[in-house]
Amino acid sequence: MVYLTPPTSAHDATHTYLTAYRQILAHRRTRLNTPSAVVILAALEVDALCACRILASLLTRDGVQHRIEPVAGYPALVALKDQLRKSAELHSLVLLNIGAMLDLASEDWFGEFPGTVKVHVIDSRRPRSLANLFGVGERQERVVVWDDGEVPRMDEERRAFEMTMFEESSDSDEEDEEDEEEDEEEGMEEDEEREDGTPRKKRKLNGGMSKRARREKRDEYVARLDKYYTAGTSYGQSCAGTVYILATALERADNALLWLAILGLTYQYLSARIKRGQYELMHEVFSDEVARLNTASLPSAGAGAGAEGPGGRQQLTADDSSIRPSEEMRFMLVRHWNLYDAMYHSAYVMSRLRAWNEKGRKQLGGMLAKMGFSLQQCQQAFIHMDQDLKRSLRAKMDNYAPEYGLVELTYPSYTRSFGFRLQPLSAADVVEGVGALLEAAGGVKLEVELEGNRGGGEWFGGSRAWSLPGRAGAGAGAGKENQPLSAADARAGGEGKAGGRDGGEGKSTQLAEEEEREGREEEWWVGNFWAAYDALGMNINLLRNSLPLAMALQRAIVRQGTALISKRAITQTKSFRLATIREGPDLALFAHPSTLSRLALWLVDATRNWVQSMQVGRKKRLLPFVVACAKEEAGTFVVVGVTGAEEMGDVKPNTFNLAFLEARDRSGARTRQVTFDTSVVEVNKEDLHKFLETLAMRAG
Amino acid sequence: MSTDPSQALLLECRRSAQTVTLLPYNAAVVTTLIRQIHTIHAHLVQSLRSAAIPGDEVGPTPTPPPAVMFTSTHHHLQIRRLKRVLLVYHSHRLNMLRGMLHRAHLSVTHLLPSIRPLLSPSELTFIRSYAQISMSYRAEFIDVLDIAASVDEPPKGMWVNVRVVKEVGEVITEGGVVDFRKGGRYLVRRGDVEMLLVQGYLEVVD
Amino acid sequence: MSDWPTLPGGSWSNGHSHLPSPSPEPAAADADADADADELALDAERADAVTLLVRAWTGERCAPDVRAFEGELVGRIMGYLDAQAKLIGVLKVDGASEEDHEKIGLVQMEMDRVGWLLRSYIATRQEKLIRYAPYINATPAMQTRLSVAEQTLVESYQQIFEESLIRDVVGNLPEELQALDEVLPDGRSMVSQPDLDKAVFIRAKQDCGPVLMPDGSSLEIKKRGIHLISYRVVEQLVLRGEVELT
Repeated sequence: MVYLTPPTSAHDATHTYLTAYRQILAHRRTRLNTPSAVVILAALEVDALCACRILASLLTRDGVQHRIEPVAGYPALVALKDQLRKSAELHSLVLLNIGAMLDLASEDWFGEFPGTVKVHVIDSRRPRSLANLFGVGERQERVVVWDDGEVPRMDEERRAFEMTMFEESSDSDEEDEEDEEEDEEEGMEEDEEREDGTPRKKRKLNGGMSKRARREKRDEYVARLDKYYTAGTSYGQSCAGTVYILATALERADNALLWLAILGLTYQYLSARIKRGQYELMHEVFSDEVARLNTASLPSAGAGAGAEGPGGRQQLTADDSSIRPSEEMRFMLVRHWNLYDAMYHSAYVMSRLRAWNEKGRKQLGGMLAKMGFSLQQCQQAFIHMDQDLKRSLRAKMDNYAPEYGLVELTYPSYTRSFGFRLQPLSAADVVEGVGALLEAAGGVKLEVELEGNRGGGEWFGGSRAWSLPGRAGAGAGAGKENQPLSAADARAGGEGKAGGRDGGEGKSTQLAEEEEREGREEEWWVGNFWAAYDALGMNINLLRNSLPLAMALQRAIVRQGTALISKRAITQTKSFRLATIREGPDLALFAHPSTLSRLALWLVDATRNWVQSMQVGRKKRLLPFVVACAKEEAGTFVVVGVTGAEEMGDVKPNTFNLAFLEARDRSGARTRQVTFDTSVVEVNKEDLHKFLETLAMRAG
Repeated sequence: MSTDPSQALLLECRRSAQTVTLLPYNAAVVTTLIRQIHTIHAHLVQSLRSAAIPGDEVGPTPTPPPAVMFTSTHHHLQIRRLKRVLLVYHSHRLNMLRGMLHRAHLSVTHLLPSIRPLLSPSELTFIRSYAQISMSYRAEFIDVLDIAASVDEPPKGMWVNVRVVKEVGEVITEGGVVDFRKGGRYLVRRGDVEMLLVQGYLEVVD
Repeated sequence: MSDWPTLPGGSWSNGHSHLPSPSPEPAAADADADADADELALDAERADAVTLLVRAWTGERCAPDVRAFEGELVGRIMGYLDAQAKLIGVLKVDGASEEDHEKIGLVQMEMDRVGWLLRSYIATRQEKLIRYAPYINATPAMQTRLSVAEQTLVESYQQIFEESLIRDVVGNLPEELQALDEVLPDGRSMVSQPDLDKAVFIRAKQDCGPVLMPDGSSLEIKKRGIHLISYRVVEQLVLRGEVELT
């Protein structure tokens, strides 16, 4: 079932975000208004997080009690599903960035739920299960997919799906009968078919065509479906964006919600999920919104009205929480770091200048010097940097950077003010901060730099271990939300793993240990989710503290990445490049799939210029990257695969989602799904070798 | 004992007040102080008796000599002070207990497990009796209003976001059954969860 | 979340509620005119009661001693709360319309707030009662300010409190030392009394003429004047309602 938003769609006005939302509201007037009635499941990433906040605020305003559960991966989802199945009050289930590819109406998932339950899927990931989109039947009616306008353009896939659904039931049984009728009708049917070119929806299955033609046609459809499913993962409209559109349709859009939507979009861009083009499209939409909701704060006249570079000054008042457009540079957290560090830790700069070695660093220093910045000035905290320098930064970058191959340094974005509580932050800043909390608020130890002046390479800042403010340190599981679902659920979750474990009685201690460890891990995920959630709300402190954490994470990533590069630890197979991390100070950190993915993306960007040496034929072909990291406790390796695009800022669909599954099947390796993304997998350490071998054998 | 025991008792009071915790009942010191009072009192009586001029009991009691006056006044003051210390200590504790009971929504069964070892037997009786008289006072209003509910802050709105601190499982609310599980957050009607909040199963967020 | 506009609702200080007014009994069908008049009257009455409650509450919070129990007012508020609760119960069962749903929400919020006010009023008094229990029990003039239930409470409280002290302390002391109501030579008493000299803010509702200050001077209190002044000096004015505590 497909839902579209009212303003943009000429289609089915009876099925829009608005009607879906009203449906969710409908029951609240009755006695059924309990938090058990509306349950929201959110994936552990920034986009889903933002969407969750927007949705929660809409529901709260409407007085709809609800429950929010962060979901780490399949085991957790299965456990929740089992739990919810028993709920008599459940009425609406909302999945945020979960479930796009799951056959939700099947028995495995929500098919067995009572008929009154509706499952809303707001997922930005593509491809999607066509059954969810085009399936018919009572069970399918339960699944409500919030689409972004793509579905009307999917006629071919739709037809292919429907045809193969129907065809399946007919084929061999009725072949003999058909032979008889066929000759009679053949002439007529063929004419008709040629005329309108499209087969009628309810065409008779044994009509017209010859057996063989029908089979060929069927193969065509199957191929079409195949093509759709094997194209690799890509992303449509952000989850937060979708829910924001609902908010505008309800006429409840305000700065808080708009900001969340912007964050969702920025996240998609910064994590290389969408291309620059897609980004700019949505950016325009949001710009209109920003203008609409922030008329008071825009400068009335003057040069460069509205657009502020990072050095620009904004008038601050205590109540200022407005959003302003800005041009951001692709150096991470530049406002909060110092210029040198921000550039050094930027994959983009790294790749152009090859700054992982001494020579590269000299180049960076040289470039900055040319622009008139002394090393000392660059290593000063950005906010303390000379005003003139800051203002001229953009212009100088534009002038000198291209010499070094640094182009397209900026992208249009926004900043938000927080009155006097915090300096204005760019969308990217917040995305980085919140993302860091999701990854590392708890569960790992990270050293974070305190503010200090770095004069001439020495620093006085010192460092401390980062810990969640207000709770006990990162080591202790002090977060109150960091408790697992009951032991029974943790066990049930454990049984969802792939790889033939016998469930039930007679569990070895090893198994029990494993499950306990997994349970604890999940605790951390859940706790981190809520930390990130709070940082986007009233807890400005948390947001402020997340920035050093983000920087520490980035430093770790760059450290590890440069180590891999300079130690020449990157090998190459026919179809991908491989880096394996078996040891090191940050091992625990990179055992987290999201951090490992970021490392992989960083490596793709940093080594983009190696492509020259990898030219295959005349076309530049960038090999994908697979990065594996040892997870000692579990005796496994976490493996991620990313597909790099040839141009910085460009994005290609990630085909590892299927490649990993195939490799697993073919090699018989024991693996476990860590998150919902199948391009991330956890492999038993003894099976790693054969897994990778099998993966390499697959035609790239 | 290096510290004067009465001083020690006062320090305990101060500590307890500052940290808002109830310390164990210091029966040892209390007993010591009571004994001290008895001792000093005996001295006092003794010295006054011995200072009385024997024989002439018809006339008004003459003032004892200055030396005796001095020491007896001193004893008097000592006794008064000790008595005062003891009363301060005990009433401080009784007041703390009252506060704790109110925060536990007048539920002795809920409060007791955590503090029982800290109480003197008499305090235990007190808190039970106090709960009783509070409950009967509460009964006056209970049809319409629960006066034992927290009055710390005026209600900010009908809804409240909560998270689960201690496993509480399924709870019956006005709207139906809610299964409160750790790891999730719930938007609920304030009235439905007042009790659970007070008892510490749930906590308000944001 | 901080950016939301707040929902409409009564503000404390003026006691007006912006509520639609359901009638206390579920739909006693009168002629429209009557019903309207009733509604208006109820509205006015309720607004009045809440205003009075706010005033009583403020007074109790500010005054150093226990003021006269506003029994009638409390009764009215209780009745109002009860009626509203019943009404909502009825509406909910019948399945309210969208509009009604909003109304119910607002009504419930108002009930929450008024309920809180009343509870705070009772609790503030209770705290004072307990603090000055021995004094109140020994002073008939004070007792007249209490409700019957409060009187019971105060008496019982003193009893159990003293019993505990007796068991733990004074009962174990020599007979001459067992008093709990001694007055020290310097005037301090074991029985604490409300400090009537405490400073309070007052606002004069009318011209009150001069009052005698502790140092012998006199102070003219005019209408709408605001003063920070010793409670004892203005106690009579407060009791007569000529000034209000704020």
